[in-house]
Amino acid sequence: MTTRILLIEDTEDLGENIRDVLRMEGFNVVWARNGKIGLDTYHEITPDLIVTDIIMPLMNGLEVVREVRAFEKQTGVSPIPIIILSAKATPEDHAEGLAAGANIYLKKPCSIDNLMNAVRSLIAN
Amino acid sequence: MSQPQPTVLILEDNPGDFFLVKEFLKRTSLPAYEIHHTERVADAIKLLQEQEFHLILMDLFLPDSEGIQTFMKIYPLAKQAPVIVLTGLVDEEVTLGTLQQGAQDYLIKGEYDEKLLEKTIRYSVERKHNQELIMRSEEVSRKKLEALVQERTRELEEAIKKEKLLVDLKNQFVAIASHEFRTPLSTIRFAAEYLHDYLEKIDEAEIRSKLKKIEKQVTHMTALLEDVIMAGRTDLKKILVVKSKIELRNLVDKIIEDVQNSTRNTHQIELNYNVNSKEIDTDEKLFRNIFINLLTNAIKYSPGKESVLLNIKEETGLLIITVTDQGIGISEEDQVKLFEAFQRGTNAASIAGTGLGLSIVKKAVELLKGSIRLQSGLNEGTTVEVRLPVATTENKPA
Repeated sequence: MTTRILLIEDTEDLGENIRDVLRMEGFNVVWARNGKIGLDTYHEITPDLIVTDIIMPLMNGLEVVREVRAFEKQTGVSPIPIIILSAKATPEDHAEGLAAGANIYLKKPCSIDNLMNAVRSLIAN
Repeated sequence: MSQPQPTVLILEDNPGDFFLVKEFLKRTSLPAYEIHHTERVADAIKLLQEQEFHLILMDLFLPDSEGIQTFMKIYPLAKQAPVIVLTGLVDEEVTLGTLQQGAQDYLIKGEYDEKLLEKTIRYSVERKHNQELIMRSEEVSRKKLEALVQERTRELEEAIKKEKLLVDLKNQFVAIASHEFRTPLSTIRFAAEYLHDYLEKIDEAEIRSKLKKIEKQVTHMTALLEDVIMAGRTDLKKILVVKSKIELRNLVDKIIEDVQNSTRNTHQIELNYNVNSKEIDTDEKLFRNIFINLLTNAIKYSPGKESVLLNIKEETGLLIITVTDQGIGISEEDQVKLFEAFQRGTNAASIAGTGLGLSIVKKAVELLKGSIRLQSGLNEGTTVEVRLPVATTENKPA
């Protein structure tokens, strides 16, 4: 069964690039272009993993992560791995991302290797 | 204007000597002095504390004080009055001491007449007067110097303040650059690595598409850098304004198209156009800059809304441009600093941006001799109004 990844990224060209990389690596990718659509898509498709940006209009990535974790706790479904990929690059940003409930925090610009290592380490578990 | 009668204080305990000096004084052609006489230093001190004299003639050996001490008790109270010492032949050393301490001159008892007395008094008064003038001019110089020092200190403080502002600007730039450069860099890195890692698996069209993305992001980052440089310029006079005749309607339509493309057509830009002049005389680059920044802001800060309004009308030589959105708005506190570089609304954290747009718009508007106003309320949207002269006077660089 192909692993399904929900990608939440509002920057058009970057989202396209990340989607293409993940597809090339054999994943099934659903791309949401802002946090609000991302959260709706999460409920719709129950993905195996989420890769999300933080700075997005309408709903930011941290809010998405918190909403997902709250929903999992409420309904008792097992938590899914979440990777944050953000331009917010300070140690404080990193800590805030993990505190919100992300498993891995990657800062932009990361390499394809960095991203794939993160994805594979979380899928393997 | 009649001068008041001059006053002289004579300290002399010997009646004969006092009589002589009084008589000689009368015989001079000096103005008639009003004479005050004491025999004791204590009485003289009392008089000096009560009134000012124009001249003091004093013996040094009195019943309650002797020698240079006598002079030292009187001189500090003499103020503007010249002091002339009346001395005996034997007191030469003491007499010279008084001259060093500030006495104007001395007369040796038994050896002076009315002529010498007159000359001595005249010279003493003159010298004392000159000393006063010098002291006063020194006072003036000192005050001038103080003012100069204060001025210089203020200049230095201002320079330090400016320097601090530049450091702040630099720090803010570093913080913003971290945000705003990371996203395009990310796009470039993924695209480049994609080409490298999967070259055998992709076709030419995809290669071209990724290369195109790299080019686009480089252009984007360059524009970002240009913005930073423009925002960092404090001396607007050095910016060259290059004016030409512009077909306004064509330019506006082109700008609208560009902005809608760059913002992925999320909003409709509704144009209300009411301008009679076909052409306007302006700097196209600055003019575009104003429109693009205002329209992009309106769209960026009203996520989820469908349209923004662009109103352009002409009124008595003025082009009045208003851009209205129904977006997140700007609080009153944030509005105060909004036209400064790197300042962003506190409610804008989840929307990417440098905080440079409005500072650049303001500079462009100033260069075109126009004005800008902003009206906004939190969650009520924002209206920015720019007024530009249709035909402005030449703006030559300094």
